[in-house]
Amino acid sequence: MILSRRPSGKTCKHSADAPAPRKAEGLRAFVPRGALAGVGWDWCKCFGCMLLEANDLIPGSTLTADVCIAGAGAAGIALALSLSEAGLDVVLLESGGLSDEPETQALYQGTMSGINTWKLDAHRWRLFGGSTSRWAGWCRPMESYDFEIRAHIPESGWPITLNDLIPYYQRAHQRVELGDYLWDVDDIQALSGRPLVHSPSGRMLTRVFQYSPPTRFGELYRNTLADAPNVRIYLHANLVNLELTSNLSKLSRFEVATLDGVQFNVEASAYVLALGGIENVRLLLASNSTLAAGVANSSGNVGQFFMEHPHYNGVSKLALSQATDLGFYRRHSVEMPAGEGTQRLNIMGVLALEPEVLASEGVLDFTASISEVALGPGETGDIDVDRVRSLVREGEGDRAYQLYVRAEQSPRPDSRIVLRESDRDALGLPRVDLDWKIHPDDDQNLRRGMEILGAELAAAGLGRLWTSADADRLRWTALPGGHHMGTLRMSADPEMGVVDANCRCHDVENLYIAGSAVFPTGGAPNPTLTVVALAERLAAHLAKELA
Amino acid sequence: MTSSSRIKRQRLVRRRFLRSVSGGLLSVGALSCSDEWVRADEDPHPPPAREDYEPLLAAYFGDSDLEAARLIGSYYATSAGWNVEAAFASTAKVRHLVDDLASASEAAQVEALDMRLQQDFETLRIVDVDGWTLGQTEIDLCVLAALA
Repeated sequence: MILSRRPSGKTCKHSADAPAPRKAEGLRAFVPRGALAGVGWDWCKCFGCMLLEANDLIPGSTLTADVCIAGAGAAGIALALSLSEAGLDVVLLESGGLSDEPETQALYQGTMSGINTWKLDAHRWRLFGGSTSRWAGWCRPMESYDFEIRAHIPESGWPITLNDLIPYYQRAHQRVELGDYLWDVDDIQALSGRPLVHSPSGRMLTRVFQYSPPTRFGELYRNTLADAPNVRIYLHANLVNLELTSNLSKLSRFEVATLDGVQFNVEASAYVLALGGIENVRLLLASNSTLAAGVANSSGNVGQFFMEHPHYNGVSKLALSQATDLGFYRRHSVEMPAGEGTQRLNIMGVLALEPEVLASEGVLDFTASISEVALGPGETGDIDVDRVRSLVREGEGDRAYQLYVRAEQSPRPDSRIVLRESDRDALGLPRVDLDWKIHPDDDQNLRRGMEILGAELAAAGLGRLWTSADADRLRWTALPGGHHMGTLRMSADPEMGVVDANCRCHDVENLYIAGSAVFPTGGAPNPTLTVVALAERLAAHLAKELA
Repeated sequence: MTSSSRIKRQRLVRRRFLRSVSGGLLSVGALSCSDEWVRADEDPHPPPAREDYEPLLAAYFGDSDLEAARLIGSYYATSAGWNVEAAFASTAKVRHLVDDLASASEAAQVEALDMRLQQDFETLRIVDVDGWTLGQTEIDLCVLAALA
């Protein structure tokens, strides 16, 4: 049931002129978490101010706060939680409601002029909790070399290091309901008890993904935020413009509108865009009434360097010829250390290459998970798997495995987001076109990575690996991970990026960006854990700046 | 049958005989002694013919899988645009390995090929064959199988 967005003829008492609302503690104590989702009642009237309805605001009013966050996904909610804990006054704006709403989701529609194996409104979700309402919970931190300049990856290098993020990864673990920050594969293997694949030449290694339950941020943290006396959440509040001060160095306000036509402003000491890697760009480019290039875009980098994690399902297949315990590489549960005790978590091993090999061979990073599959004739080109299996002399057996490869993509400026001024949404904002490009060298790069992996699997006695030789098939079967990275990249040099090491826009001193848009490179891991870690780091920075 | 072809056939028979009885025990000295009856005006160590390798290939791949090896080798040679001579020439390294072990048992020869193949993978002496990552030694053996 869709939550009603309009009170039935009554005005909410929590207008901009009212004092900060006190919570209806008594009623809330009897309301179980999640029970109110989808109930078509007006929150403000019946339950006090847990979550506020933007449509109830007096049009033209101005809210004030220490920090205004636009976007209540993983980044926005993590940021709001930590800023609240630090004692700052926070306004959190969310375009959607507490559940899916077609007219709100439709605001995400746009076009894809490049690789179009997905749709813009099908891999991101516009409701309180954002895409965490759908994510599968894959977690892994970035590697230390992901932050370094790598000679074979132009535009690589972050202005921060892994060590800068580790304290915040530990915090992020709590947010996504993982146990202690433990990622050593040998330690995890000891807890699992299942063997690792041996790498005779040392080129191949095993990495581990840990799975969040997955944490639905909107459900898990709604009450915490709603109960916080210093947090106001406004649902159905769409950021439509970023207004600059007269000297262009700061934002003066966020301009916000609802689909029902209520418009209001938020003035804050600091502003954070946490709308996602595509929508953040859209708002910056669309806020062009003062500067034609939009806000924070003197470098011209806003919207460029869009990266995904291309997912290649089935482009590599392994003909296995002997019984091998690959149980570590299937999703299974392990008792992981968590504080004073343990926590049962799902983990899964994946195959990858050693960083020295990646560097010496000039190969982008990737992870490959293995799943058993039945391979029929013709699925591997002209030479069938059965013929190749005949070559393999070790042991007996006829199993086959499919590799699911998640690859790093090299950053390139022409993989980009632009506005379509002639196509506007219901709020009057221009829609976007995403021209997602994967460099042809990345295809060759991946194939070389698969060759090396195949050599190592063969050396380990695990059979022979096949990878599609068809470059078009490789690129045009690349499915997205829903990871929208790089479009507002971090750099110490204002000419090379949009934000600095603290995620502050170079051009606008009180505007910050949260989320994977700031990633200069994508690495191989899923971004959510790093997104939350960066949000925690930003919260610490803002708490210090605004203290 | 001409005298030269008779000698070649005798040499072939000799070699197979040596393999069948040596059991890995034949010394280098014994091998060199067996050459004494070769005519002096002929090359005492002519290169083996393609068909000479068939018994070893059958031992390596197994009789039932030899056909698969032939098909893979044929595919690879055709893809490379080789004629018979060029294909045979491409297998020089594995032939040298086998020839150097002519006095060893078949099992020892197979083991040596396995070891070389393992080294292929560990040192990235690999070949892309229709998308399959194969070791240099095994594709050379497949090409030999296709030619035998």
